[in-house]
Amino acid sequence: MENPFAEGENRVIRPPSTAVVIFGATGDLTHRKLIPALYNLAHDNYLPAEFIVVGAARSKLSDQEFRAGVYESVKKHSRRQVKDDLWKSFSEKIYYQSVDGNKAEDFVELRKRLEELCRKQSEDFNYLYYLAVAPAHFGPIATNLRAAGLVEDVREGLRSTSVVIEKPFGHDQASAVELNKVLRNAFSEKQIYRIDHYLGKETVQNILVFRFANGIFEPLWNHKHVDHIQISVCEHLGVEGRAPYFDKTGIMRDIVQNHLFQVLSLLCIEPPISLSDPDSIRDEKVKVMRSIKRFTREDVLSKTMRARYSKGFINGQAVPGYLEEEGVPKDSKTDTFVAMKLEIDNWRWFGVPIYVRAGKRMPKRITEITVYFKQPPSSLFKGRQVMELEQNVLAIQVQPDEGISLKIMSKTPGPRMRVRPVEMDFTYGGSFGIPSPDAYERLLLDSMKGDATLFTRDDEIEESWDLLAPIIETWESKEPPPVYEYPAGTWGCSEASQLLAPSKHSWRSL
Amino acid sequence: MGAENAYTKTSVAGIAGTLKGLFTSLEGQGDYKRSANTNMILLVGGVKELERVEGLLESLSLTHPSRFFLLYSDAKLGGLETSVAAKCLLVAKSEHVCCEVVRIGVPNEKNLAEAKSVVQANLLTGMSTDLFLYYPATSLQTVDLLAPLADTLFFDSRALEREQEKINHISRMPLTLVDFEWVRLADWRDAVKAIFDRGAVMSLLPFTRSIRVVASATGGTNAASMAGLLLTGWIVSRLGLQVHGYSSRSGFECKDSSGRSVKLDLLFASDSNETQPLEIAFHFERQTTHSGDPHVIMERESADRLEISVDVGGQSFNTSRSLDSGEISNFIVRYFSVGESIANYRAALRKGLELESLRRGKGLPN
Repeated sequence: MENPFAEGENRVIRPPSTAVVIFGATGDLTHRKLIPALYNLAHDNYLPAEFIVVGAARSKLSDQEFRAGVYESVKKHSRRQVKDDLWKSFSEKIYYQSVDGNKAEDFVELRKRLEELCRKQSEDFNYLYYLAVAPAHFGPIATNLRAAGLVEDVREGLRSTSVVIEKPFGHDQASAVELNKVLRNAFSEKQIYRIDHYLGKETVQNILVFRFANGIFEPLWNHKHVDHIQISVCEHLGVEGRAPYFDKTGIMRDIVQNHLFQVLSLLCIEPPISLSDPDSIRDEKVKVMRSIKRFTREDVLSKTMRARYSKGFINGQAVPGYLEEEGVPKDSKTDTFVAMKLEIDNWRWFGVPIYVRAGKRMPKRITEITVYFKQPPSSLFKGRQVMELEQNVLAIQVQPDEGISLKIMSKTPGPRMRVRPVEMDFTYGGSFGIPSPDAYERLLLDSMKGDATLFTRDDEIEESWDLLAPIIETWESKEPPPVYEYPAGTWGCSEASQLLAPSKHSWRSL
Repeated sequence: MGAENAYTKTSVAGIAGTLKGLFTSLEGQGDYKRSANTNMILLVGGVKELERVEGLLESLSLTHPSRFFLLYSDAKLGGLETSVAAKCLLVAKSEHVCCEVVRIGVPNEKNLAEAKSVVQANLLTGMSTDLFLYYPATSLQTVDLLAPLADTLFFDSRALEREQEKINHISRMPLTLVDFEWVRLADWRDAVKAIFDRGAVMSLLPFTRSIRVVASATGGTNAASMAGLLLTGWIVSRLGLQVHGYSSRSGFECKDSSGRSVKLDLLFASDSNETQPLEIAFHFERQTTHSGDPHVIMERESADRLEISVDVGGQSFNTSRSLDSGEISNFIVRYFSVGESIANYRAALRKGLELESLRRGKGLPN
């Protein structure tokens, strides 16, 4: 039965009283993203009045020691300067509990601590468990939480208890299914929030608003008017000390399986029934993933390629090649760049190539979605100083400069008919003044509110692995296709361009 | 230009931030608009050229607003050095249009690979990129290094006349080529076009007997000029003439599309000062018993005047056209503000280089 008091009411901004327990509290994610995000939510007055954070990790720390450590991190990583008075009131709600994820008795102690803290504040908190740990620990932690009575049933429980997990969601289809199974032993699907931080970015959320709040674009959003789509997720950084993790993963698993496919599905979905119902949107996303043509071995060889960076220059600095990075085995076959040609086999997108690429050690950090519209006939301009008319291009830049631009053709001033491309654009900074919040701020807030719209569902994860399965299988077979090389600081190798060449397309200059 | 046009030294990583800061500081001081439709990389040469190029930047800011990257070498530098400026020009009552300029200096050309990576990191996304060979003595290695970033190469083949190999190399590059010598020749090509727009003259074209092009050239005897080569190459390619042979005595033996022989003379008059076209002449077979020698003869009367004499066999008239002249900067501004069709340039260049290769007894170029 739906809550009769919710219909017709405003969507809440401030969540109910919540205790956020962060497992992996001494790790990089907590310090770089989670605590700074919570601080900024406090700054904007979005946190519930009654709110506590409990950091949990194996280290033995006091509350004060933990607070001192995260204070330094917030000063370094918060998008705003730390205000002393705000920090004082915020940090008083931060606690620490030493917990070994494999020890059931530690979870009993955790429960006692949480109950004690709740008692002190005379408040009934919802519990949100953030697993900022490696996936190998998800199972034991989830099991121990359930065993300690820290997970309550959705229908019968007095409080809301939920878990947030980070990617990677498995290593392949089988492990993703297994991971979901392990989590579902302790939590129901409604209690599981899988974070893909791209979904927390304003520009990515804006894809749906852009498409469905503007009458002019949706009629063009199909194979009749769209020539092709490109999605580029480019980083200028290398492995940055994460070689042991990255070498087992590769860019396909690190970026394509999650961020890139999430963006692709939002870009290509059918209109959902409602933007307020999380499952309505996620149902449509799953349909897109299911409609993408699966690869045969021949398709893998002709429509995908992979490469790794060799030494080069990034922004004036000489950088080593991937095989020269510390911690990377000399015989590594791991990809730091992939490019693919996808096709969605449905009424909307039939025949529209979708080119995706993701890479490390690119000339700059940029994530961009570009929709190329079909070229108009240029017969009208014959005999004029007009070379071939360029396509209209809609570009959605997710990072670094969030915004949208549209390339149109325009006459240049002067006595002759000269036509040149110009850009109409909007940037978040220029239009709205206020800086965009960090993705984690929005996602943490939504998870506390119980809004799963911006989180990935289990079937989305499994479909994305299903799509990649033939590629991974071919790449890891006894006769794998080559791993090409590209100098760091370039946009990949010529083999990536060859994916587009048969259709006379070329990668957008970033 | 105001104080905002001064260069601010910055770290490589701080280029984007410093540029943003420049514009933030301009807000509230008046109506300043950041303007850029393209990226332009200028291969400037050395410090002397760096000072000289500032004048050109002013014209380009108005006619071809871009994010400009000035690459130069200075032996006094200890390493890669970058600075930025917002070049702002008052265009209306209080409206300023500003282009961003990024200067990247290296101790010598060998360090340009690092400089390239800085350019690449700061190119405006999704916009086309022009490469301007401002300093003609820039090595081909440098041009080749940066060419993959660009869509269009701007250069002046007149400045490369003594380096035919360089021009040959450029002619093979898979970029749109804008040659300012071609822009200089616009008035001559327009004149030829205008004359043959007349039906009576056009009707003589299939009966062309001979074509003669004379241009001045510096560099001593037997030197050629790009003006002559481009004009002749243009005429040959537009008429579809096939060149079958050459001798220094009788010029080029050509055949038109119907197999008729056409004699082509390409002559260079030695000049110590400059290279320019001097004459284009078409002679046609006599069609009637009327006296006279059907022809179109265009001669440069003075620096800014072209005299044209036309005889269509029975009727004749004289006309004239003005010629643009002046510094290269005039033609650069002309290109960007008025435009120039380059649709026929590549074919003209290819044919011109073929003719020159034959003239030198080297056979056809690679």
